[in-house]
Amino acid sequence: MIIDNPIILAVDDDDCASSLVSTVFERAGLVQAIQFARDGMEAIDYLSGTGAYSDRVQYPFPTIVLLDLNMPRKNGFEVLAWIRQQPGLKRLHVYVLSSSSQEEDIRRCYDLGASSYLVKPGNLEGLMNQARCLLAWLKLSHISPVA
Amino acid sequence: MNKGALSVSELRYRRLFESAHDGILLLDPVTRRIIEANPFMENILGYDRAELLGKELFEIGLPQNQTASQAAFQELLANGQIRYENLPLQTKSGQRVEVEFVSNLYPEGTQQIIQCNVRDITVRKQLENSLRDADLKLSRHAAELENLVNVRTAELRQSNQQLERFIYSIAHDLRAPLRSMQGFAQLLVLEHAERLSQPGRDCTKRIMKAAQMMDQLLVDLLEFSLVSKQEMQLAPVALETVVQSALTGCENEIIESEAQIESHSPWPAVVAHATTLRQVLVNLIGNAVKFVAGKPPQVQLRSEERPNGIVRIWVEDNGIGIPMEFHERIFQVFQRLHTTSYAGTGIGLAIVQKGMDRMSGRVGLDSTPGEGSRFWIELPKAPSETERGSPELRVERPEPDHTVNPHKITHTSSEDRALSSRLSTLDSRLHSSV
Repeated sequence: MIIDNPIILAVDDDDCASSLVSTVFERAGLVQAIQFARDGMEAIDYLSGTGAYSDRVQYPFPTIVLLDLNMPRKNGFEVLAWIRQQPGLKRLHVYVLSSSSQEEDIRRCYDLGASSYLVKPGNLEGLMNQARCLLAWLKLSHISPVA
Repeated sequence: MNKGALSVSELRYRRLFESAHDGILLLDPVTRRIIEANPFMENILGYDRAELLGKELFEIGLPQNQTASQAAFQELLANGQIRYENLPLQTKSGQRVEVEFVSNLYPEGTQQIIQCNVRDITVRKQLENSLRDADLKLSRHAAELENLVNVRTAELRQSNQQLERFIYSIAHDLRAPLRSMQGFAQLLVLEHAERLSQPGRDCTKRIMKAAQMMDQLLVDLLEFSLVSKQEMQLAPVALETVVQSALTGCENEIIESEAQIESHSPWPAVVAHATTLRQVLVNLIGNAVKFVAGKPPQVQLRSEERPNGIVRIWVEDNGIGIPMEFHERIFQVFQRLHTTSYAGTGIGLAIVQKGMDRMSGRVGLDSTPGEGSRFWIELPKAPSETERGSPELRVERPEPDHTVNPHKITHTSSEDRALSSRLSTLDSRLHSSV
């Protein structure tokens, strides 16, 4: 199934960064507003639909997750490991979006089952370009529903 | 010899015998008994002369028993001499002394006599022992000290590593909010420029410029700490490839400064860490095109084979040059010679120095102010392929491309080009609106 209007869950503890990502994806043509989780715990709650997140109208299940690595409470690696352990989330598209370009981090993420690893661009143009490419890529990708 | 002369001689030798500071014993080789002992012999053993006369040596504990004594006599009679360098004895009062003991068998007319010379070496031995003790203590202290130095060095290295990791984390973490600042400032210009007043646009421009400078600083710091902490396995590296790759890395600076870069072959293979060497060259080339006053930079890259299998790589520019007194200081972090007139974070040459240190290479320069600088780095030449033999170690050798100028550098992907064209649009928008 090809999804034209993906629902993106951005997991990042940096509100400014999230807001910028949101703006940039909007400019790049994303229709559905980006959903946010501010750390790994919130991401897990969101994905498992606990508490307020059980309302899937307000908090729809995402098509893809953009996952930062360095976060308080639970970091990106832990979230990634958790996601791949859940039978219902095995096929969820998880794109790591980190400022780290260290080999070690990249290898670890793929080992944990990341769908892709993107390094946060240093400037707005790079971010814009990344958002555009990602949306175009998703339009070409067949995504198998996870749940 | 008349009687008078004989008595003079007797007196003379008697005096020597009486005053000698060696013990002297005379023995009858037949009875093995002492027939004469000098006063110093009394001194050494504590027996008086009367006690010594008529005794066999073993009776005064010299040597310890009769059997040993008889064996020694046999040897003495057979060889004419017997010598003990270091013989432990007991005095009459039970004290231990050490002596050097030499016995000689001399003919006296038709008979023979044994003369024993006994030298007390107790003090010498004690001195030797305390010297040996002192020596032992000294070497133990030295070992302890060396150990301490090793421990301290390890601690220092560890804290240095922690510091380098700290630099990396700080630089890395500071970039995150900076990216947001830059991004929002750019959005402000892109989407709200029309609604900003002239001073407002001016402020935004300054924010962006400062953010860009800070970003460069952090990028350089990250590079510096990476060069410091990276695992460095040295291997044969084809200079040609690395030089080419470094030029690609400097592409923006080369294009912006309209620099003419000439790369002169031959480029031999050297023993290095390819990524670090590339980083070193990027910074040297960046440095060469940066500090030029009012003319396009001209940079020459060449290699020179030095004695003892060393390859020197020259990066020569036509820039403003560096006065002699600053030649050492420029390789330290944050040491800048110029203020606002030339761009630079003061980290580039520190990366060069650090990288060369890590690869056990050297770096230096010749420079004449006003005429340019000639920086050099030195690395060991890699053994040739036949010397190395093993095919896994073969160095990659791409087709040589001797001259590189900004217009000849290809390898930008279409995305890159699209991106830079968008960037320049953004730039011109910014400039026109400010």
